[in-house]
Amino acid sequence: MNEIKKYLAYCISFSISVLTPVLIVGLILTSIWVLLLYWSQDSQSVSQAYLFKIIRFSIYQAALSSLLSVIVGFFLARFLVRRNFFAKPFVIACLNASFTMPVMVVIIMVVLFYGHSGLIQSLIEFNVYGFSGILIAHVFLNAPYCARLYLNVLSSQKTALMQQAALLQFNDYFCFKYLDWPLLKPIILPSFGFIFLICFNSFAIVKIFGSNSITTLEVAIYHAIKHQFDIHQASIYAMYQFSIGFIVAISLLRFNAIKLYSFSKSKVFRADKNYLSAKIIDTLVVLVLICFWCLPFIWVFKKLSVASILKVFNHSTFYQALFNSIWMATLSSILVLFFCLGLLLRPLQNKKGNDIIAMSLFFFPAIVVASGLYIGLKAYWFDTPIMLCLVILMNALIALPYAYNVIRQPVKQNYDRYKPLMQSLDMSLYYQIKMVLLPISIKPVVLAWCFSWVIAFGDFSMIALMITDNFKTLPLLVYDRLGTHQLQEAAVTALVLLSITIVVYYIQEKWNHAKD
Amino acid sequence: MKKLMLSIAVIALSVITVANAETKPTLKVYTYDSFVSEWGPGPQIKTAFEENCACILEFVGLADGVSILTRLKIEGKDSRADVVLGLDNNLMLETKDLNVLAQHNVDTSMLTVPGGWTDTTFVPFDWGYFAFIYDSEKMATPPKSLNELIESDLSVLYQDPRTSTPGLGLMLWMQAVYGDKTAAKYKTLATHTLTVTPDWWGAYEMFTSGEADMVLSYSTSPAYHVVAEGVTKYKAAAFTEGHYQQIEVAAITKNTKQPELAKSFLEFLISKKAQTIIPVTNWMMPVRSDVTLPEIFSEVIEVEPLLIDDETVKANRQTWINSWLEATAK
Repeated sequence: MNEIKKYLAYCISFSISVLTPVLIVGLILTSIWVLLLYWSQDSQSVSQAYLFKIIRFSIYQAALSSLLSVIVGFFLARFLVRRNFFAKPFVIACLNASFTMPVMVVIIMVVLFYGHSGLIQSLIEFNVYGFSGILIAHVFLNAPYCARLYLNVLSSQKTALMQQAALLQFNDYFCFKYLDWPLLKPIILPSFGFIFLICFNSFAIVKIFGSNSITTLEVAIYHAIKHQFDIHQASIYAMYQFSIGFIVAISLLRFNAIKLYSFSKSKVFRADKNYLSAKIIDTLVVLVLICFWCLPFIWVFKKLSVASILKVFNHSTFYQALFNSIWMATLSSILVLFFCLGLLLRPLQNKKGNDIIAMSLFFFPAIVVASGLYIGLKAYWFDTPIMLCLVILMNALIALPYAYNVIRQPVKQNYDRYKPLMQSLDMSLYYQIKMVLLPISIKPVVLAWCFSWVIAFGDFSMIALMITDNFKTLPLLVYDRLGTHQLQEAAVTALVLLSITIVVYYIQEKWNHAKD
Repeated sequence: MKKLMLSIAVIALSVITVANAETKPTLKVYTYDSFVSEWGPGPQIKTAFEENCACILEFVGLADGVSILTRLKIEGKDSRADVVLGLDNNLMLETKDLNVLAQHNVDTSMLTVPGGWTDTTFVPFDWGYFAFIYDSEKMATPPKSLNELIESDLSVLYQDPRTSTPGLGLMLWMQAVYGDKTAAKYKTLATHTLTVTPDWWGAYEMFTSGEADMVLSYSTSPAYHVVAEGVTKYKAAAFTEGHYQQIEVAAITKNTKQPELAKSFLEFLISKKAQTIIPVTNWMMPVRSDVTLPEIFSEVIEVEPLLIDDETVKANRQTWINSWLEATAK
């Protein structure tokens, strides 16, 4: 009987470990094949001049957004490594969470703060719709990621070196040149590349702040599919999007940029903290921190009114959207864990081939894969439930690289550690996971689930591309309200989105402490 | 046993409920968002039609008029809609070519649409002229012509011709006035365009929030503010070149399982009852002459109509959109 159970467990684990990579690779290859099929068809619907302009703008906006994010992130990291203050852990926690913050929340903050009724508009004439809006939103979202990454590196500086620097009376500039720069140099370019990819594949921000004159390949794909149903045009844009994204992603392969959650030393000795130049720069950074991140957040609350809150909460659409967002995110995040399990099963047996597959959506832009599948499926099953399944699947694939990165290392470490014991007890893989690996790796698994849930919960691009009926999720509702300029209602909905995200992280954090 | 009886009762009740719900057929109508909004004609039309049809009228709100055409392209002959409502005269030929619409068999002889109506696929339900709206308290002397507006530095909002029928209307308006020079004029207009929205609603809401000096809408739009809000400051600017005409239409799909119900809906749409609702909710002119309109409609600006024939629009729409994209892309 035990032999049969063992054999059954082996069959199941073998099937999952084979089916998962086959499913992921199959979906991506099918999508690219569909796009190539339409791409090769002859059509005059694409204007070459327009195509050239949007490729140029896609690259330009991504490059400038990345450059600004890297610069702002660098100064923010240096400030955080130099200074200790009571709110520092909170700021670092915000940096950790900012990367998975629902993009619609950022958009609302930028629209309300920099838009027509915003604080900035009362000081200077400013049009948030256009390139400036895109840049602000991208830096708002990505500079904290850079700061977190650089803070980790700067915190790893050897104390002895810093003490020597203090003896040699190194000022701000020398500290940067001889101590910080050698540490940062290897990660500046990869982090730039990673942010470039994110901005190049950014959909919601360009969709809201851009227009026909300021648009990217990603939004052009959406337009071609959703508004013109010109599959040929969509496939051409998608192939360009894929080619450029793929080249950048491949060049980043050597660097593991997807570190969403990391720890660093809270107190670091710095030789340059008392120099005037450092004090001036850090004061400026605090001002930027307050003006660029804190004020827009506070401004959203200032713009709220009881009437708008009641209007949102009295509408049944809101509850439907909330319910839809929750169940879709839950299914998506469970699927991510299954994918992780399927991909890790083989590496546990010392076969490392699946690492690349887990990162596949890093190389193949989500909207490209989704467009291919959407076009391919449309011919057969154009139906909302099918499309919803596709949205859930795509969100799982989008979250997979991040979740896999969180889970992989601890699970593998624990596996290596307990391997002799498990082998001596002749445990099947199922029992290895159930009795040993899962209990001791539960923290990263829950964290990965959290990331996946939050990413799927805040998704706008996939649901906007694939769903056409009156089906709503919270990010779609925010978008609809923004589109009809009901800014207060949009803000209330976005704050609900943000609150739920924070609650999820908070519960995870509490649970983490309880486990300790 | 009790549990079993209870379960059977619950199942029986559910079956009865479902069966009852299914006795009423559902008529699915694809239309644009603002038509089904709380202040649009949708809710009143739904109530009025459902009073006598013994059916459920279900509106599916898509972004804007052109999105209805796109949706028909996507769904093809398997369209889930029974009726499409909100396409306009400029998209009729292109939609007919999809071969997904049926003949309506509705008597349209008594309708008073400019130029008359003989089409057997589409039924018109309202009409109007595109116009730029301004706030007369902020702007004492509005531009007198389209050219004056384009050459000015006034901030302008208009809609995307790929998604919205007013956006398409402006493109055709520009074509009718400027012909080959349209792209150059769009380029000039782009220098003071605040943004191009995917639908009419978004642009109009931005304008009423004070974000721009002028917005593309209809010559009848100011009537809404007078009747619904008692606000008289919003005016339509009359342009010397003339104004492009729009006739909004509805049609029955070939795939409908209830052609009679769909036909009765189209008949209702041009009935006096529906035509009394549409002008004061969709803020367009009725297609019947026996409808009593609010007094403010007599103050709607008199304009010179402009129109490009259907064949030319169908043959050139994509080329003109490409040229607009090229001219306005930075």
